[in-house]
Amino acid sequence: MGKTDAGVSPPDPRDELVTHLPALRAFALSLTRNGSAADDLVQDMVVKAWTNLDKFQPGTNMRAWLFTILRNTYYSDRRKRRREVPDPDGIMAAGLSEKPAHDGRLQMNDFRVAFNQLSDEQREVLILVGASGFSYEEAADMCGVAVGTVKSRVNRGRTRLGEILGLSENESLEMTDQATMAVITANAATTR
Amino acid sequence: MDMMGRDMTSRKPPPKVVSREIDENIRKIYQEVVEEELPDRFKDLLAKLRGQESGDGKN
Repeated sequence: MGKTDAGVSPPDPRDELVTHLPALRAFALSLTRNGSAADDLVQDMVVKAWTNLDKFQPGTNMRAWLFTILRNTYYSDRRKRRREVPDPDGIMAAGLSEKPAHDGRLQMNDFRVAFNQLSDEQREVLILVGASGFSYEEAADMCGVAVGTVKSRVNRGRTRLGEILGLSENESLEMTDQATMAVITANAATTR
Repeated sequence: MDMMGRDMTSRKPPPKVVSREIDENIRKIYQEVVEEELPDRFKDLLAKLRGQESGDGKN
């Protein structure tokens, strides 16, 4: 995917668009929290982007452009459909166990459920900055807010996840102690 | 307030080790979807869009 040689026609933006679809599906799922709604959203976004490709400025970040279209489509759909969208938190919360299993690692399912309880604003910045590799500045542009706002949403999102999952400072120390004790006990057993 | 005079009702960010684990898990749930094979509906959609564009009505 390097630069094309002089004389070779520039890469077709349609080909680049296709390469971003897996990441766009992942972002869509984090917004909609529902697999088929996510793919519907990506489909709408692809049609929109495809028919507006002449507005894309070559040489700028197409990934950011596409993520922004996806995000705008999500929020405008949400406004239109607000009355039919049920609050999923009750259902989501029902599946959440009180605490993560004490094997020193978060259980992925608990984590997913906890993540889905965050606000749209927190989920999107955590995905944009934490998983998609956008900078705080890019995420701020995409969300139409100040960089400081993105940073505080990221921090609040992390804090909230820690609270939902019951991960306090004491607990993580406790977990470390248990792990340490397990190692000590195992070593003692083998040397005896 | 506790004995040290700290306000325990303020919402402290999770400790670094927990934040790291949280970030790692966010990347994991994202990456899981990125690595999925693209559903057929998108291949069909792209073929349709390309067909419309070339004007030959292919597919």
